[in-house]
Amino acid sequence: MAASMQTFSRVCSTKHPIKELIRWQITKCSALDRHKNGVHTSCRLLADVIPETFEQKTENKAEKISKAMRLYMERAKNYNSMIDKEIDEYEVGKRHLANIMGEDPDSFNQDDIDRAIKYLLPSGLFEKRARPQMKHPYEVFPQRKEALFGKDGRPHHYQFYTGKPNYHGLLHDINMKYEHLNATETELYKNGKMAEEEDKKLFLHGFQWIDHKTLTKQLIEEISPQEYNRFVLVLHRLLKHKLSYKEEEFLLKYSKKVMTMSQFRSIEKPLIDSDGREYSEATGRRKTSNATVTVYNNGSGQISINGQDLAYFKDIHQREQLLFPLQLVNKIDKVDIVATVEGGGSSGQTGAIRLALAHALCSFVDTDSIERLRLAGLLTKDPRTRERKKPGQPGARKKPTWLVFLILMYCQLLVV
Amino acid sequence: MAASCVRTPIFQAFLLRHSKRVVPLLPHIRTLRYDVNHQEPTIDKSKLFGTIEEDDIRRFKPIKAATNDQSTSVFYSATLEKFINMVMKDGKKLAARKIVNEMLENIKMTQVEKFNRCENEKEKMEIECNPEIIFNQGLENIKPVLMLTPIIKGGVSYKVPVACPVHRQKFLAMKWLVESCRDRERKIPMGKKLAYEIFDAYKNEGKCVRRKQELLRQCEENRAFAHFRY
Repeated sequence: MAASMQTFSRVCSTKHPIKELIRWQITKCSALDRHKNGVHTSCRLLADVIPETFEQKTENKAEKISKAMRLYMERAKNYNSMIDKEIDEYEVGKRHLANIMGEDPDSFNQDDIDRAIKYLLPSGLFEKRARPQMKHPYEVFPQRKEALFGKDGRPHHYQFYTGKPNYHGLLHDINMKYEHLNATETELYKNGKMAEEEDKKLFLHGFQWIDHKTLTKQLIEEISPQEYNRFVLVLHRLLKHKLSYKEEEFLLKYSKKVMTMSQFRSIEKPLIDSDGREYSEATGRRKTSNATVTVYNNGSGQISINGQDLAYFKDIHQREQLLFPLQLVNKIDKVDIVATVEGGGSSGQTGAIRLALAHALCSFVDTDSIERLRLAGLLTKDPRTRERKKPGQPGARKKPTWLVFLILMYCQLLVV
Repeated sequence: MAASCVRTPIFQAFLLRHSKRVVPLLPHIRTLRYDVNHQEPTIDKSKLFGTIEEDDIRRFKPIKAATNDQSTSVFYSATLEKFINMVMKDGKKLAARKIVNEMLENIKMTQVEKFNRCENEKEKMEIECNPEIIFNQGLENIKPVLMLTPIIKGGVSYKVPVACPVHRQKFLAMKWLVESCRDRERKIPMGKKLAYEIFDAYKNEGKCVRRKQELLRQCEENRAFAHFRY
């Protein structure tokens, strides 16, 4: 053993020790060459022995990598050519469609296409995704990543082995920016220039972070909800930093402008009567009551409900409910109201008329008042209805006494 | 059973941990009819006409419908509406409202009588005639600052004194008030009984205040267990 170790150390002095060891091991295994040329094979180098086994293995490994790369390149090429073909077809089809509809093919955009398809191929299917569609291939075919590793098998991205390089790379970038801002902050404190940065704090008003689906699309990776939450946390941390204004561009990349609820509402203009009076109509529902309210502008506060006065409602609080929207927009004695209501009980009818009234009043008031009506909850339909009775129970929520309930459940199980 | 379980904050916390929702579920929601995004309506007129900031969440989210009891009128009081609901039995809102109105009327009448009878100018000024103010002050005197919660440590359940949250204080005060009135003799109308109790509470006397003091005394006795809270 000692002798062999001596020879081994002599051998290894100039060359790579591990490779030599491997070669040595291989030579040891070949029993046929035990006593060639009078020298024990354990002392001989692989260079003297036919180096078929070792070199062949390395060659195969290199071949395999390049084969994978080759296949990868081929697949990417096929995909790209397929996409290009689809895009050409789409463009040609778009022009055809424009000609069919008799419109200008050059200025035919996606909205026009949707409209045209809806017109030419009407579908009664409830599931909108099952209806005929014509969308740009980029929206139809899932996006794929570019080549992830080079010819030598080395990945391009430094986070490749995480499995989600784009996601982890992004998180890393955000954290690096945060660290950088921290360093900048300490520098400013040292130089006494922190006071200048007081007013520059960044507030992203009216912005929201991009949602889960958009992030998944952007990163072309499957992001779990927990990972998305982590992403939002980290981004938020960066935003809350005192010097976050320096990274405004980066932060805006991952935020989207939120529409205020008031933008969803279209301004309805009042109609004009045969007498020349301005009026507006609206309907409202609450529980099982339906109400239709006509509000006439420039009135004197007359109210008519199903032909009767406000005394239609015997309870004072119900009458107060009708005055609620009027009081908020200051129109109590300035409009005339004609309401018809049917169905439900007194409380349901009150709610229905109130909703209809609030909606009708929107035509006669400014946007601020409309926003106030909305914030007070007058423009939302109350979705609460009577909950149904369930089988095996006396009511919607009421259950029989515990033991009876237990026996009932047991019997049901037996039946099943 | 399952439906009632959903309303408890424990179950909501369970859902929060185990759900894949990105938007967390709120533990206190009025009904399950509304989407999680819906915000509570603003009933206070001063707040509605005051400044609402650009990035206020109410601008970007839908708002729940105002109930049939809420309004921006001068006569609306959120505490009173809650109290009416607590007095109500079997969904008879009209009867409950009548009782509470009678209570306020009784309070007003007694105070006005006192006011008219009083000859001393100074004392006259000090007599409070607004029944709502007396009701609110009476409730304040009944609200307990601490409460006992059962905490299990080492298999034994201890009653640990804990700070009473504001919403719980309100609830307990109203509950004790109504309970003590229901226990009294049936010949006296409920409105009158409530008025008597409120007057007692206003002066820091009576059944409800005694109950609160009893609770605080028990908390004082169990103060050794206070560290069990953590």
